[in-house]
Amino acid sequence: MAFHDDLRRVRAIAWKDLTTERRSKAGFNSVVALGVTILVLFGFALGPDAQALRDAAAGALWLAVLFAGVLAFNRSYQVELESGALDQLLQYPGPRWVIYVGKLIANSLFVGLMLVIVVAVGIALFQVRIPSAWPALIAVFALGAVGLVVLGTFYAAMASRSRAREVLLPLLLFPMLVPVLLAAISASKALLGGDLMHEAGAWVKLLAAYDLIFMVATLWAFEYVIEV
Amino acid sequence: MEASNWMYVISAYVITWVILLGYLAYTHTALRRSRAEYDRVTGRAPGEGDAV
Amino acid sequence: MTTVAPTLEAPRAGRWTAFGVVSIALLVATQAFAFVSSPPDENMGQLEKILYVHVPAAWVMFVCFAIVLVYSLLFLWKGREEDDLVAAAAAEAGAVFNGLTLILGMIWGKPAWGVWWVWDARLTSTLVLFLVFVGYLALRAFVEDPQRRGQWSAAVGILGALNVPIVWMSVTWWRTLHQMPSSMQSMAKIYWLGMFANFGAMLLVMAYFIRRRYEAAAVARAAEHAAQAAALGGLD
Repeated sequence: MAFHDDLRRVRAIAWKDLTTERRSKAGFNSVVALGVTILVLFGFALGPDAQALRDAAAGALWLAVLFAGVLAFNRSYQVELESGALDQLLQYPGPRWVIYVGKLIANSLFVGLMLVIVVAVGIALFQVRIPSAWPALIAVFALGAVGLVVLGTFYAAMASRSRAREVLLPLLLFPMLVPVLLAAISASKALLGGDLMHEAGAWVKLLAAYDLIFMVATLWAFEYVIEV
Repeated sequence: MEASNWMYVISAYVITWVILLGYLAYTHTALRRSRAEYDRVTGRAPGEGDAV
Repeated sequence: MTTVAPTLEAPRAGRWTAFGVVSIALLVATQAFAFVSSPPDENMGQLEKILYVHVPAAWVMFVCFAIVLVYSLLFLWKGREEDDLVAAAAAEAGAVFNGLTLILGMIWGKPAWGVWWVWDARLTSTLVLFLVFVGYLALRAFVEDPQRRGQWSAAVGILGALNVPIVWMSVTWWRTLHQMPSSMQSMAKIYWLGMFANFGAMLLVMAYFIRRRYEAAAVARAAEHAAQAAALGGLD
């Protein structure tokens, strides 16, 4: 019964965040525009040779998603801070992880939607040939995005409430995301190249393990981070 | 080849000691500064107190 | 929910000065011993003398980050501010030894491999670890409230330590597709004596660093408490 109430609170927080985003689409639109801009810049840096672009596509796509995604996480707390709503949120009954999971869901949808658009644009810009194993590619993107959102949402809870939040979030987040980036880029690259050596499977397992480990760890640690 | 290897070896040891002694000096400066601050707020003359 | 103990006392200096002098002297002795006693390697010539500082520094760095993990957990569990300060001191000392490891690795790499940097599994994961703990120290620098600083950096430290094996695994997999990670298995037994002696001495130096950094932070916090008490008129 109590767990059912918690789930209702999670839904309420996720819904609240998503409603805020939906009412002012400017935030989402500019994050997506930034992601696409980064892709274009990578095109200038690496192109115009079609084969070179195709080879670099996986890395460029993931870095564009990473840089654009980082902007989303601080936003999700900034709204609370500007109106002093976080203190109020903390006074509501229920465990703290509810806030975290609610924000996690909202950020997943935000980043997921952004990722779909940016990847679609990237596939066109970098002249990527869609492989026959495209369901595996989708799984890689989903698992990578989960890792990004889990740690991004967690670290933003600290960075957004400190001085120098613009530099602190990427400084904390990017080194932690090295395994996600390596695994996601390598697996995407292998799948796009036909995966002759069947490398992608090992990377997918690593991504899944990473997601699980840090989901548990951040759920446990969130209480200590949000209380103070 | 041999002579240039010596150069790398010696610079490695020199850098090691520059870093270690530099950090040592930094720790002592920082410690002296916080002790002076402690003595100041607790109203003791520097060096007089034995609490720190 | 943890709370900071309001009565943090300034630690006594004790015999740590003697400890520091002895450990530095010991490190000088073990380095001189290893430097003189080690015969030139048939492949690497005199170059392997770098390993007597490089490898112990890397080990000491792992010890530091293990201390960060343990004291961060301890702080979240018990809420004693001293534990937070020890974790912070160990993180800083760890970053110093980590930086030293990286620089020595590059000095090793230039003559051994012909380049300052290779994206080898060890070097790369050491660099990532360095960046994680630079982030830890930056977070501490940007947060003033001690309770907040303690709990946040404890979370960052624990997650960072948790990430070490995953980073190591991912970088190794990434690399093994191209080349095997560098190995030191060819080293003769006599080298290990110099290695462990240096590790022991460097461990003492590390302990001294951590103690002094902890002491500086604890005295500074005690001064803040005293200043607050004086401002409230409670100091006699």
